[in-house]
Amino acid sequence: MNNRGMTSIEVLISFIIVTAIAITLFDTVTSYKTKQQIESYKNSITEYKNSITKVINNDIVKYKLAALSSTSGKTTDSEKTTYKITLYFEKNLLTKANNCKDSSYSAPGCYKTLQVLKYHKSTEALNSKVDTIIYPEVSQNALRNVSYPLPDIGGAFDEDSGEVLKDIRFSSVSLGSALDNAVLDIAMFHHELSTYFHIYIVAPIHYYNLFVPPNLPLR
Amino acid sequence: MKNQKGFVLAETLVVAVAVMGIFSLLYANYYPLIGEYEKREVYDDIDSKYAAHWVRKILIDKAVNRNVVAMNSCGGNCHIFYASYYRERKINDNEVIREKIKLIDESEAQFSHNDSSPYIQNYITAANIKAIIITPYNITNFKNYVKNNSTIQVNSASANVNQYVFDRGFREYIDYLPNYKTASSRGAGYRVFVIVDHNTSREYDAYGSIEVRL
Repeated sequence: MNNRGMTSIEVLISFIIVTAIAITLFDTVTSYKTKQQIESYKNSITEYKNSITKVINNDIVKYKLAALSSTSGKTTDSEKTTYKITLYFEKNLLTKANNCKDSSYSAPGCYKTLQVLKYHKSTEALNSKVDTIIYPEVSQNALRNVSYPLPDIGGAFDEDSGEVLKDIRFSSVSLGSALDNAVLDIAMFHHELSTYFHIYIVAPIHYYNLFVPPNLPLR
Repeated sequence: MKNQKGFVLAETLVVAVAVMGIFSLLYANYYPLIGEYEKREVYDDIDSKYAAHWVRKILIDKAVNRNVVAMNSCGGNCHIFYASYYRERKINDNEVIREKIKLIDESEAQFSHNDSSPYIQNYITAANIKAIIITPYNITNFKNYVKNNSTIQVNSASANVNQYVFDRGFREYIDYLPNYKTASSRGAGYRVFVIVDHNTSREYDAYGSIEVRL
């Protein structure tokens, strides 16, 4: 009877085959791992974009957008640049009794201010300060600011400068308008992927009333 | 007596080949799923969904005098609608303009109108909409049409070209959708499809649809 197991030559050949297969698959597996990571970044950014788009569009649909204004515009200090955009609505957000269209758009509840905070750099001290969108929501019959910080999908810390370069940052905020439509474009840039992502909101202004009331602070 | 033999090389190789075969089959089935996932990222994304919402709102607006004319451009096998809409709007106390909204293709983006700033055209330009297509709520016939044809004839005297060419992405999107054979619970008789051109970030089109009760 043959009591032999595998000879050392057989074991060696098996090892070589297994190693060859592993080497062949290594690149494939690595590329999928990278791909999976990129997809998870993209998912986080898309979720962020969707949540912002939804809260703003919900207001536009429900309360009817009267105008978008950037009169308070862009301010810069040593720490950050702040973009302020005011959304004016035809219906009052706080009380059904008051119709902004017929009274004043500067009355409480007739507008919301969207703020986009873009930090110049993130030092260790500022590490908690990530680029953020602030948009109010109605709570207990008052408008209260809610922060929507950009998702943290990593960044590189540079020891020499002491700065943290976040992977995803706001790039620009622009406001445009065709005659009947407002276009708000908040661009985000992912420097490693070299890709821009956009929160792009397009909505008709004064859909039901194309007259611009004299008290409306148009941009 | 107990068999004390181990595996011989030939046996090991046969098992290894069999296992590799199974893995190859799994890979072959799994790989297309990645492509499917990438394609479906652009199906009914939030931008195209809101674009479809606003197009629907403009279409069902009570200020619009609807004059829906059936297209006979799909060989009579399906009912794609070519629509002419008139919308009256007041531009000042004394003047009312009437703009005609026409569908449905890039050449039609010029829309016949008697005002230099037509309402719907502005929205379509602002939202980067490439095309709007209206179909019946049940899209079985439309799906068959898209499967077997690559264009829609545009019966319009004002159109520069007389057909709209479906791109591959749109055909795959339509193929992916259900037929909507069960009637809409809201009594919607039609569907609106929008093709949004995302040229501001990456070069791709996104597709959205929404039911509409005209």
